[in-house]
Amino acid sequence: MTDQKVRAWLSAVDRLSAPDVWPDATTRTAGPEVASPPGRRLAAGVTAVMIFLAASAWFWVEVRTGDEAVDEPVVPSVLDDLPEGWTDLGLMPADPTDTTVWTGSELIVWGGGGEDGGGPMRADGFRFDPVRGETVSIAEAPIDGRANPVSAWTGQELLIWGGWSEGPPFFDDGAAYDPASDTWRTLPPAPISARVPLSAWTGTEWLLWGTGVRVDDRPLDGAAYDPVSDTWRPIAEGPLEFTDATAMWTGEEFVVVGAALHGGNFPETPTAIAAAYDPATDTWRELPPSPLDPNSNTAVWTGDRIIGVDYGHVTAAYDPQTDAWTELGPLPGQQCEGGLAQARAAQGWALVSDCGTIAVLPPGTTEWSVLETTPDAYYARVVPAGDAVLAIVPPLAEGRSTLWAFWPYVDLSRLVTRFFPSSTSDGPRTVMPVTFPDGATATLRFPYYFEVDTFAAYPSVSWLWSGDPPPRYSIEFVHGAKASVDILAGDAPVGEVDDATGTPRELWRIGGADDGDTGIVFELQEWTVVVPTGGFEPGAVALAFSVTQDVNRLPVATAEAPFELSKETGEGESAHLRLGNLILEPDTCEGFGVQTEHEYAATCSADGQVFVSMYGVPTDYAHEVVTGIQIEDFVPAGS
Amino acid sequence: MEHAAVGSVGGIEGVYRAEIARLWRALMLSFGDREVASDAVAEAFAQLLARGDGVRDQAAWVWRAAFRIAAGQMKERAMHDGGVPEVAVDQPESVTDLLRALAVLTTAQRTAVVLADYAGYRHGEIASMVGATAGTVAVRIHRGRRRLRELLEERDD
Repeated sequence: MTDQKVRAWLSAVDRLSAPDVWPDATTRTAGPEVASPPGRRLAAGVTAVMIFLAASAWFWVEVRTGDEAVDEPVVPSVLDDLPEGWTDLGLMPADPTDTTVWTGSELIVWGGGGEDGGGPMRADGFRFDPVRGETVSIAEAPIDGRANPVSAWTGQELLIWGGWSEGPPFFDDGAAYDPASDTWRTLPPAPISARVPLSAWTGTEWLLWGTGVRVDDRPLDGAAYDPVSDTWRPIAEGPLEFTDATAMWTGEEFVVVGAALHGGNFPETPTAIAAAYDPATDTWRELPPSPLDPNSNTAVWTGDRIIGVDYGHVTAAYDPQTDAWTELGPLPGQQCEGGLAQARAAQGWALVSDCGTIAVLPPGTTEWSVLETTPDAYYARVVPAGDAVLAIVPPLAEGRSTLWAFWPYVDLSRLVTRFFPSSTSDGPRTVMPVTFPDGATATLRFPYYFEVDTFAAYPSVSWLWSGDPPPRYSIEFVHGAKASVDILAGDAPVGEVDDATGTPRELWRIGGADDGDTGIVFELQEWTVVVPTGGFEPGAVALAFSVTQDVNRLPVATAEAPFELSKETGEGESAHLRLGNLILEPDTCEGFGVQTEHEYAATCSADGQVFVSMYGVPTDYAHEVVTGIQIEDFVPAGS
Repeated sequence: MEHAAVGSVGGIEGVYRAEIARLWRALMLSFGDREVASDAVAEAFAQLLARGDGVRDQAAWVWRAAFRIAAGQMKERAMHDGGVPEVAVDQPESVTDLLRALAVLTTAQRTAVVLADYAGYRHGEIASMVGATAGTVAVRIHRGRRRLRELLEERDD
């Protein structure tokens, strides 16, 4: 049913004239593998390379306050009252263009080249309090506007130094901004040349050293700035040249991890390189070779180890106690040679944003987990924020960026491994390794424009019942950011009921809708669960039923009397998965046939073991455009 | 929703003439980008021409194909260009306001609302276009409309 008011709003688009794009069949490539126009592909490739080239110069901001030890929580923050996981803090007043630091109560944004990163360099900025939603313009800085300066938050001041204006020559000056008085002061001349250095705040000094950008003359000298005495001191020359690197303060050493690449974008070393400076002795040491690729990479100090990530998604941990690197699990998500943004949250968590995926490594673990944020989380910029992490998520369409806050989970069992697979691109196809709940693995390969991000899984509980003989109602567990709930009906919920925690849950009509059945929708971080209420009182079901996620992130349902949960269905006895809403090549599976009026189903098997059913829409489109999903490398559980 | 009559190449051109305006505008509303909308329409009809009479309901087919193609282009653009489409400036202010409001919705909600309330498709038809189920589409439409009302009623007031 059409909403007339919304329809009236949308009709404003009728004022636009559609262009005549009748295709010239001789110049377009028709076929199932839909390709972007060649010109755009080239432009996209160039853009990706440019982002890649600029990556290391952007993404390191180490925020520390006062003289606290580096592994202690920072100052009380307005974010302290936020719940675990992600919180949407709303739209940003403007998109940050360059320097972005968190003070504990505000984001300070300064400099850069305008809203789109181009145009004249700016020397102004703003402060944004996301909790109060207040924005204040800050005084114009006494130094030239610029891009890519290094910055730090000392607990009282924002420090800025170096950078460039649309490229070399670099700046050799800096300034400090005090938000309490909305005033700036210039820093005294530093004993180092103009550049984009690497930097980290130690708690008492601001260390600036070398460079992290691709220039012919790579300085090895550095300097330390003391904001209390307002003086600089030179520091010892380092042992290695870097062109792409990040710097961090471990509490004892200033560590630089990165790469040396010459102008042709080729590495000059067999692996990523690293060196550490000890301000107590004014000496440097080289770290051992890492498992990381010698091309661009990023790293973050988590409180007891350095976590390094390269652009091929290899990750490794460096333990300063053993002076050794250990390879970790791969960073999940697509590899697209974008900029790796990273941040450290207190309590030992590392968080990396890359190409639309935000992944975390909990303390003491070796495997990354993907955080669900928003479907539009491409190129989120992450900013350390004390015990939390802020993510500035640009919109996919016109609009402003959204600010999110992530608080690490106290109960790590809520985030250990991820059931839902990551995927990579292989030309026009997506390659998705899948691990099923029973441990079986396979690889799915399908056209990239399939948004295969919805799985329905039937874990060990599938039915809700009460009484004897029981009327039983199947519970729908659907996974994915765009979870497909295929048993709901109608245009809107028919009501809301509170669960045992007092959280309101939507109550929808079910299926054919004529029988009046309703279902309660429970939304978890990655799952949507629909519990049909049948003839029961919906409020009673909502109060009795609860669902959480186990260490494998699969939903675990429980129910209190008078309700029970059944395990005796076929789906419940063996892990049964459904790949949402997509047709596949019938040849690859057995039992292909019409499941319902609107769905085909195919139960696929490999090595005689049935492991997945897939559903799709039986349309011409499905048959003619979709080339199907190829299932490869199936390995049964226990092999 | 009623579609244009089917036929061979000439018939396909007839489908094109009948559908181009609404299809292109629906893509504009859903993806907010003229280039994506135009490319998707052109590519969808190019593929339809290649298949000719093998497609029974050509109008329905080309709508599905265009939305899938546009979604693929947006996904690829997001991967390579940072995800922010170009902003059209040569359009009426009312359209710009509308696109800004729509941009606040998730892509899935936006597409579902546009296909339902602008293009007039039913839930099942939308489901087949976007690769979801009718129930999911209903959820997306409900939440998308609710958000749109919050945004645009405030503006209208």
